[in-house]
Amino acid sequence: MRRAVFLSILLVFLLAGTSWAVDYDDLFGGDLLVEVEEDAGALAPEEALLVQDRLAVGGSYSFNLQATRPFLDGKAGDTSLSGNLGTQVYLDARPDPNFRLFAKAGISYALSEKLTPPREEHLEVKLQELFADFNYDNKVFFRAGKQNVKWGVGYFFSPADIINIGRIDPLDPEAEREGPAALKIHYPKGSSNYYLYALFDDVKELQDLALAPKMEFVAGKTEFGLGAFYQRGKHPRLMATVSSSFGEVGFFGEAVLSFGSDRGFLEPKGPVYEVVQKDGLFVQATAGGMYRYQDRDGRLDLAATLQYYFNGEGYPDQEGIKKVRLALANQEWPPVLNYDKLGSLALMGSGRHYLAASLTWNRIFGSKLTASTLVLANLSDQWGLVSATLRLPSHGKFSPSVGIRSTFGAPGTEYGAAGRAVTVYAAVSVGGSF
Amino acid sequence: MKREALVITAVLLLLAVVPAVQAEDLSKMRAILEKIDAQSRFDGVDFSALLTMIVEDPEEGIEKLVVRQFRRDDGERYLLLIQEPVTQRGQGYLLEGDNLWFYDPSSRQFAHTSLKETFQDSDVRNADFGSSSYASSYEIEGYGEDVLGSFETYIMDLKAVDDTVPFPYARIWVTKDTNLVLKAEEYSLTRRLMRSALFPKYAKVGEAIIPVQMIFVDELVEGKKTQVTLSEISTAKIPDHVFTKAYLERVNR
Repeated sequence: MRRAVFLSILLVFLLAGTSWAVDYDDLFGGDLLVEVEEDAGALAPEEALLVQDRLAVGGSYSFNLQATRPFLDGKAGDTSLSGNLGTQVYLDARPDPNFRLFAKAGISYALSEKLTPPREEHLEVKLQELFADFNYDNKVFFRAGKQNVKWGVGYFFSPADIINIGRIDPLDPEAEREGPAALKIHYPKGSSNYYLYALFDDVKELQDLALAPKMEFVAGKTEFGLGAFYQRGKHPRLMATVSSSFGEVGFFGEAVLSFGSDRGFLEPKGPVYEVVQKDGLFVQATAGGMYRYQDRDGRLDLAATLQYYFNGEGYPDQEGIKKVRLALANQEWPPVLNYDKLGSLALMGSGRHYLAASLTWNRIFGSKLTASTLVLANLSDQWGLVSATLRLPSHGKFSPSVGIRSTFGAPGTEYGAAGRAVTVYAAVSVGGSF
Repeated sequence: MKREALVITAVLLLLAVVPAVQAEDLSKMRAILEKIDAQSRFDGVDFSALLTMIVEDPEEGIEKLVVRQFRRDDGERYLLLIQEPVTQRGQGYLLEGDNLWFYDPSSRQFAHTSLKETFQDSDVRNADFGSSSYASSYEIEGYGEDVLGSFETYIMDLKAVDDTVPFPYARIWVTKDTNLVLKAEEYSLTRRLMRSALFPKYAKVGEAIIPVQMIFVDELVEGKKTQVTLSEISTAKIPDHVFTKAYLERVNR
């Protein structure tokens, strides 16, 4: 009897120690094979998904509040409070499986820079997407209107994304970017895809229409993309992308060949500079990788991304552009002969070599805390930015976080005009979908 | 002397016969793996179903995912479209042979991903949505017999022969009479138990026999598991255009 009790207690402890005790007699005690009736709905599931609710309205909302305290060259500044209200609303009309109309608008309301007393209010309403989808015999697919598109495969930098209006912000690389007004023609064939974009932004005559063909194909576990951009009066471009994975690491790369540049360039003229246009070939290339590591116990869940970017339109020598930046920052005349061309200079993105890296530790040691760091550097002028964010446990739709950001680099560098700056902040955001 | 000769002869005979018997049993086990793979495939027909996933996480609570699956085993294709929850609605996966893309509707971007990755932080791997490949991806290290519930089963210890499967080692329990996998334990390179999968309900759909209820248990996080149930099953022909990036873009908001 005592032995039976001991064995029972031991069994209870053993079961309590397992992650999930299974009653196999219960689970595998009855019939293994069950009868199922095949679904014979009025509409095939692939068609039912295309019509869905026929008319749907939805969206998302967010409210962000951030308290910031800057430290410039070691001196603390005033603490400021900024806020932003935002919402996205969409309308999706699908009268039949072969046609739909989609519209999405964003409303953004920036609260005062300093809430007490209010200084500035700003409301922005923006059409983000408005397009119609139709097709020819379910073989060729058309999307006409303003639409979000994605050409490149890069994460922090994407020079191959040559048709979008919005550019990637390396500090917020997953943010939605503004797309062009275009007619997209898409012909999928096997695992390959062929696209032709006709782009209408700023087009006043038919001859000014921009054309951008692209194809994607796979070889083994690697996907390649080849594309081009042509518009009268603009410099033609060719692009290539590659994305693949080796083991647990995902790799991506892009290359762009531009026949001339839309930018103006500084040329030394004695002690000053002249802004000139340059012909010839310009190469931009980027490569990077992503890796995620999860340990056996769920205590180490790390995600890392690293990317290098070579910008052939950047300056090998940064001195000229530094002087121009410094003069503009100090509200002085820049050392340039032809001021009327000053606007064509690229004050940002003027470096030749860039590097970006991020490391995120999800659920630190199994907790509800997540930490992330970002390093962004212009290697050409030794400017850089380091930021670290700690996301605190969310409570429903309420997400708090704290962080610190520091820039380094000499005055006149890409983002270092004001010298070394450190900013600490605390933020809360409330958001959701409807 | 005569007796010694008899013993030596018997030992030699035994040494000759045992490997032959083992080889015969191994080939029988390999044949079972081939049958498992064959009956999990939809050859010549397409397959679609609605998958309801209940993800239980001791930290995050209980989450429900509803996923529409379209599958064509000729060409190793599938398309998965998340319908619930609303925050992930429209996210999709497109498999074509060795290539798997994840589609994010908010950025309208396709990104290459891996069959080994977990599906939406559940305990299901992207590879679990296709047909099984036990015979081609594993070799048998050992085997035995066991009883699971009211079923007599073979147990097989498997070692991956390539890196196409999420786990390098597995142990499976297969019914002796119907060649159905009731349970699978999956192990890391260091032979640590990572995940257990249970398949308590099967259904004959067309010529295939597939699990319609699956339970995946995370053996690293206590209390974390995912239950998958199939409904709205159909083997009707699926148009070719469904297995394209264009379809994922059209169906999305």
